[in-house]
Amino acid sequence: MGENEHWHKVSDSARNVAPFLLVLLLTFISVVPLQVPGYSGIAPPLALLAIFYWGVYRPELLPAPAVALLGALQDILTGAPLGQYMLIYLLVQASLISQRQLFLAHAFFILWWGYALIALLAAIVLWLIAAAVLQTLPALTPFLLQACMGIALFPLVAWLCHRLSRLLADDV
Amino acid sequence: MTAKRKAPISDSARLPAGLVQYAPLGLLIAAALALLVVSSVRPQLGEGVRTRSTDLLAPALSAVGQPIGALSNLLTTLSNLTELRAENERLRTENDRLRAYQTAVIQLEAENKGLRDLLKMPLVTEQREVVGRVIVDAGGPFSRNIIVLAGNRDGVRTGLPALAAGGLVGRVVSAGQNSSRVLLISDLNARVPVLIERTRQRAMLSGDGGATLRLSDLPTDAQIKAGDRLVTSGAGGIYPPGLPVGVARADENGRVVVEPIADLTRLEMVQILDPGTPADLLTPESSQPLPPALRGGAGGR
Repeated sequence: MGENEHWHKVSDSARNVAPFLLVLLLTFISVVPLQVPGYSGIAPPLALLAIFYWGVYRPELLPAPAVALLGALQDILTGAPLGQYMLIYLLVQASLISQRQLFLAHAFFILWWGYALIALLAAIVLWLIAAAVLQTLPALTPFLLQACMGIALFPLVAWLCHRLSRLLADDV
Repeated sequence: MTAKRKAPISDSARLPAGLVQYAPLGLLIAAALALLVVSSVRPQLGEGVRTRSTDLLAPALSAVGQPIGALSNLLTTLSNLTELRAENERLRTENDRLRAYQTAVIQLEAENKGLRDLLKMPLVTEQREVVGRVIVDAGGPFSRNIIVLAGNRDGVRTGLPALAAGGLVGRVVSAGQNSSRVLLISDLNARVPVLIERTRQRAMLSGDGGATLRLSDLPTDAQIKAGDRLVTSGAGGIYPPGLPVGVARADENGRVVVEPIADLTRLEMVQILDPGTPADLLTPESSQPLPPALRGGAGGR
């Protein structure tokens, strides 16, 4: 009985940290060298896609402090000003408070469309931050390209998150 | 009547609950914004945390990167199979050309040694180098930097230049125990004082996040043409002099841009160069007076 309870607790903990670990892995994958010419300049922050997914379907599994930590990690690894991705990720999570019911009620295509909209807005915020930090207006195109790469990869990451979500549900 | 009175109480009770639920998110957004403002004004403030965190994560990044890099290389090889014959031919021609260069280098090396013997100058052999694997190639649209799996423990320190394929890649901007961050010359903030090798005229190279570098601060009478090589001038002491950086070419608008010698978009391994401090290079032998026959004009060196 005691042993069962122990394993139940371990299983609960694993379920709670699994989404965080997946986003962490995606953060690593988005920064390791891929040896594809020109890719690193427009590599999308894959973590953002997963944060969006969990924010819609299981926000309780990826709370705000975890999102902030993942954002700080992205800042640290990419050499971005500290707070940049932390702010972007948290703003995406905040935007989902009012929108997630809409996404939950509709088909995957609407979810994808919603991500596209949020990703483009995030690209513009990133561009504004870059302009403020550099005190000059950098080209907007690479930021939009980066967002488009993320939009194109969204179904793949959403599928990964969905599989994990099913796995965690089966485990209950 | 009672029900009408109860409804507003229920709504007002829900409001604080919502506030409590979302207060941490609001506070974290405010904290992130404050952190962003502070780190933009004082970028060096969080550098210690950044370096220590990168050191801590380096083994995990290396573990994740190795299979992904291998898979990526395999896919690239497979997609290039059709071009293998042409590539082989190109490499054969390049090999012949390099053999000719090798002969010239051996001759020059012997001549250089003879001249140094004549001047009683020791050969500068104190230069050290560390080769490190790139474990992070990131940055985004305007920031270009890499993290290399080599740090203080291997002799890497802040300010050292990094090279790949014989060309300058950037310089170490922070070094931890087992990893270091290299700011690439293509970063928007990177500036490299250079010389046009053919004319010895000075200029400044800067990055814009793209594949080529911009040339500025050229003298009005500057003569630069496509194919001219640019090397570091050593001005400002940021980079040691003489490191190959890039080759000039005209872009589609006819402007002169510089193509880096190292392929900055596909960095796998980099060589971090420690040219040694001046104290390393000076030996009692080198401070000996010049032979009488060579005093005067030759002494200006």
